[in-house]
Amino acid sequence: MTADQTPAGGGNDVDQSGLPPGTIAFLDNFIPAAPPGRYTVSATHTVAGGMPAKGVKPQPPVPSTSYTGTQTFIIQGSRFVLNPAEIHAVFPPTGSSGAYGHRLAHIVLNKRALPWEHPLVDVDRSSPWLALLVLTPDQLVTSHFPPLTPPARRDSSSAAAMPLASVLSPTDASGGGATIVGPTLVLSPWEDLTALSVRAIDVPAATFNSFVPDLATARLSAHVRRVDIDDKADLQMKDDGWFAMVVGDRLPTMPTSGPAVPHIAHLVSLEGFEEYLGASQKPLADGSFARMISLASWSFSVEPEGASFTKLMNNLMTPASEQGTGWLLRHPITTGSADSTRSFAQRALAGGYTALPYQTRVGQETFCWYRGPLAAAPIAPALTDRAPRTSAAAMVYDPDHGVFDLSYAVAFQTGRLLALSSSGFSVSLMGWRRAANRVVDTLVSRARSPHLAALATDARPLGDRSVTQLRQLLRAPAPVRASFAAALTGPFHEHVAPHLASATSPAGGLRPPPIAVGRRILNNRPTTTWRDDVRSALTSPTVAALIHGTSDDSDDDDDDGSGGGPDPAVTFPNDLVTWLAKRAVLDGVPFDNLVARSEFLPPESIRFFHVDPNWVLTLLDGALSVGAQSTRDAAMSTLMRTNILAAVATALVPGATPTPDALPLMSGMLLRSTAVTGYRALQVRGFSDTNNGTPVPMLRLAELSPTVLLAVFAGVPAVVAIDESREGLGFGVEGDSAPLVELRHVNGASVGQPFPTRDQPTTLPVPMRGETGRIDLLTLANQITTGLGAQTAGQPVGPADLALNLVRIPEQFVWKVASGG
Amino acid sequence: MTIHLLIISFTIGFGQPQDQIAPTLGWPEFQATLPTPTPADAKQPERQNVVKIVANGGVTGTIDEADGTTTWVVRPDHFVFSVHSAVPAAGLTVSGGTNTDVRYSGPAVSFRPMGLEEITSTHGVSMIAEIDGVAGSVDLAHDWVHAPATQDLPEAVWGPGAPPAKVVQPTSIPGMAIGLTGVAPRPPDPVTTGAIDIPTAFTYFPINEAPAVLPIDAAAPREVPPPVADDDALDRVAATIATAAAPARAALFAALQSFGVDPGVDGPLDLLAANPVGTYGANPLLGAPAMAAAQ
Repeated sequence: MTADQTPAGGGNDVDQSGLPPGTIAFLDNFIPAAPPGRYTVSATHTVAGGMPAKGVKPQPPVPSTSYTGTQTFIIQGSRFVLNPAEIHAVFPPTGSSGAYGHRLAHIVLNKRALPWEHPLVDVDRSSPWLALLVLTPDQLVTSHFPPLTPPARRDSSSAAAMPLASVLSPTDASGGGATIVGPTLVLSPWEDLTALSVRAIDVPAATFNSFVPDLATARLSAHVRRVDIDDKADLQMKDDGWFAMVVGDRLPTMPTSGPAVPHIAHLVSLEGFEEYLGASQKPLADGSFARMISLASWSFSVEPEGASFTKLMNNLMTPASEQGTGWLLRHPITTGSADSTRSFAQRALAGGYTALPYQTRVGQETFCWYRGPLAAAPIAPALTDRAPRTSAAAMVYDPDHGVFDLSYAVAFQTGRLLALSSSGFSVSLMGWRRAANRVVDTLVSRARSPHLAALATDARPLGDRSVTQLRQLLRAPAPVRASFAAALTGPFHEHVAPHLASATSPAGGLRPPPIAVGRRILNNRPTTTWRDDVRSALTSPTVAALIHGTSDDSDDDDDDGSGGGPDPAVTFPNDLVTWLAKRAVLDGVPFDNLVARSEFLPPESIRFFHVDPNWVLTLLDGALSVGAQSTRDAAMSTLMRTNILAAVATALVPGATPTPDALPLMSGMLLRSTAVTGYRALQVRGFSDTNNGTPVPMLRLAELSPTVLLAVFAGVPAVVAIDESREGLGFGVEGDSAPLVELRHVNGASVGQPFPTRDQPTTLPVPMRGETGRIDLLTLANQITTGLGAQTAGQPVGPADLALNLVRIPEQFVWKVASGG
Repeated sequence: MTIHLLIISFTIGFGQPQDQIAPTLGWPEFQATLPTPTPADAKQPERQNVVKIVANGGVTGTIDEADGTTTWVVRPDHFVFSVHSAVPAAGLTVSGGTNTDVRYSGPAVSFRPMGLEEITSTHGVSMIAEIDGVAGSVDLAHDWVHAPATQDLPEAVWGPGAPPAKVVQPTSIPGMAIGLTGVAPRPPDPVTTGAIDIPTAFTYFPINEAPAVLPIDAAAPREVPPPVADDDALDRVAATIATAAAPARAALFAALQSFGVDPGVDGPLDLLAANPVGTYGANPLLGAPAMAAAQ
């Protein structure tokens, strides 16, 4: 631990609660406090004694009584098998071929404590039980494997699945009598692993002694990093931003010419090999083999001209990738036709339309226009004031050419199908619609009621009344009280009370009073029909505001005693808003609906787009049409549409001022490249000006498939940058020939920055272990300690500091708008 | 002048007279109101259901033991459990090794149905571990983290005084201790670099010194004109789709094919023209693919 550094949980900014945005922290390790074992927790609750309360018939004190609960649990991490879901990423990418000669292979694990879950025997717990071996295929043998069932279980990584017993007590199945050394493991009493199958590799002694890191080196090869991942929620990075990394210490072999050199990376368990890898470092005897458990493996090749992030990004900008589209999601552009029909077709195709076969409902076949929500040009909102009730009403007919455009009809139908496939949405929507209709019924009923005389005198239609007045009418207690009080002080006082008084006189008696109350009430009978009133209510913005719980009344406070605020029974539910907001950013929309033709997005291409707001609006209209069975339901949908869309817009961009178009302007990009897989969790950023000043909010960043990445911005950025991921910041060395490492500050205000200055960083030659290509991490750590001088306060740098100094500068590809933003 | 003033007062009685105190419960009766063993505890008669230990995270599997109990299999990281008692406690302690740590100390507990106050009610949690075949006590006080679990409980049961309550409204006593929550191994304190601002420290290396041209632009003109609603749209379909517009459609079909777009077929649409209302039932919008598309 160097000067100024603090423990991870010690209350600094790298604690358990959060990490500042855009930052990363390196940690030496994450050693679980509780080692593997069997634990039993006991909880005992004891009650006894007691004094009688005052005035109570005395009871004997409670006899001493204990209640006990016990629970046994076994702490046990992955030991023989690794869940693939716990692997976040690997580098170099699986199956890739690239110029990786100066890059260190590594594996990123989702479980921060995984490399330290199993303490090695008689070794400090800071040593991980995992190491990453980077080998060439000829450095492993498979001839001594036991008979495999089925034989195909031996794979190209030179590993094979076999019973654990064949690893713990290996024999040479070839009959050659070779000595095979398995791990010396002590199985816990609760571990019944006789039937467990594990993957293992046979490592010849020469390979083992030269390429398997000793435990001190292994300690420097693993570390933990924590990053802020708030902008990557859609990339299945929902853990907590903590990752464990295991790095191979060998630089892959780079050929100067000729074919690519294949490599295999194996994440192996060091457990049981302590006597060979510990302080004594007893070498494996010549001619023998070590059978090691491999928990993960992948292959890659190294060649000077192979793929890299730079090459993959540059490839996106080649004519072969652009294909005449201008990097927009459309057919190749053709221009210059004098013929009006051909010119019309050219403009439509340039706008992102395609023509697709269309079988009409009567069975006759023709063709139609179709464009998904990802358009090649910005589109003005045009469908904001009306909602189609059917997909047919969302079709667009071109009478000049006799061709239908089914784009919005598909959007409507897609929204409807998405809603129907979500039972929660459908049930909640219909429940809300019933509640909203009840509100309208109540309003109309009370407005027409002759028994609510105090309010029935307001002859204005419902639609002309303020939200406050509507709310007062809706909430029964106040108007009923007022009406009843008026009746008591009016007709009752005038006509009934005198007769009650006379009833006490000898000659009097309580007789039915000749009052005109009935006629007076009947005089308040409404002059409009129920249907008219309902229709009026269903076209009233104030009724919509009442149902939605919003009001623009300046005097809409609680003084009226009506309670004020939204009525939770009718407010459009948040779960519906959230569901619609996800659909608005095209979550769940089938890929074929987004990209109508595969040639729009060929392999190794990037396409930018404007989101068609009309397509999205119609998609939401389709979803909201579910369960609408009458003209009244349709009227209710129309009434509430603006408010619902405003709520969705607010959910998408909190705090944004609602626009007349309701939904925010959206744009984005689709990337189809092996970079999506190879450089997992790429960072995509947008800026609203060309100086990279104001970030454009990212509404959605999602991997639609292993090679397709979708990004949707709230707005149209002037700059878009694709960066290598933060959590996957890779390791490597600099220098064209002899590898070098540039030093970085390991603490203080400049932590992470080049040491001593950005302009003149100190570089050190990287010490190697002979001709193996392995970096001598122990020596390098000592050299960095010396090079940093007072920064380290004399303490040797650890895994975190070493990792920081081996970080390879991440790369970035940038697009800027031509107009200057 | 004679004034007749009649004042009528009456009272409707309900419930138990307030001045009468109900008989108190004895310990066996009160104990019977506490949670009873579940059928799953039948093999362990001594096991009560008053104290429960609940896993809150990190359990990856379970093992059904021969004695009817269930053993959890947990990962060392992310494992969290809690301990709850049906009886509130005046004191919570955790122990292990030579340490006993008082985690909570509060007012004494009362059993109002028994009419008893100042009852000793303590809750203690301990743990033993068998690691590498060696059993020992776990120092819960220092090697694990935890916090008192509290809950609002009914005053009519756990409050002081005599039964029944003189206050008709049911009230609760806030924040009574019922056990421990968030019980987990104490997180380690590894050496860290602290937070590093990525853009400052690892200035991205620009692959393309001259940025590529971004083909979308907020300043670009929007497509016009938008489609429009027309109450006679289906009539327009009937009047044009099979006759007047057919040649233009054929020309468009040919143009699309010449541009490498496969639109399928351009068949006759006489049946559709004969009955568009019956076919679609609603007027479509009228318009054409927007005309101002970016070139």
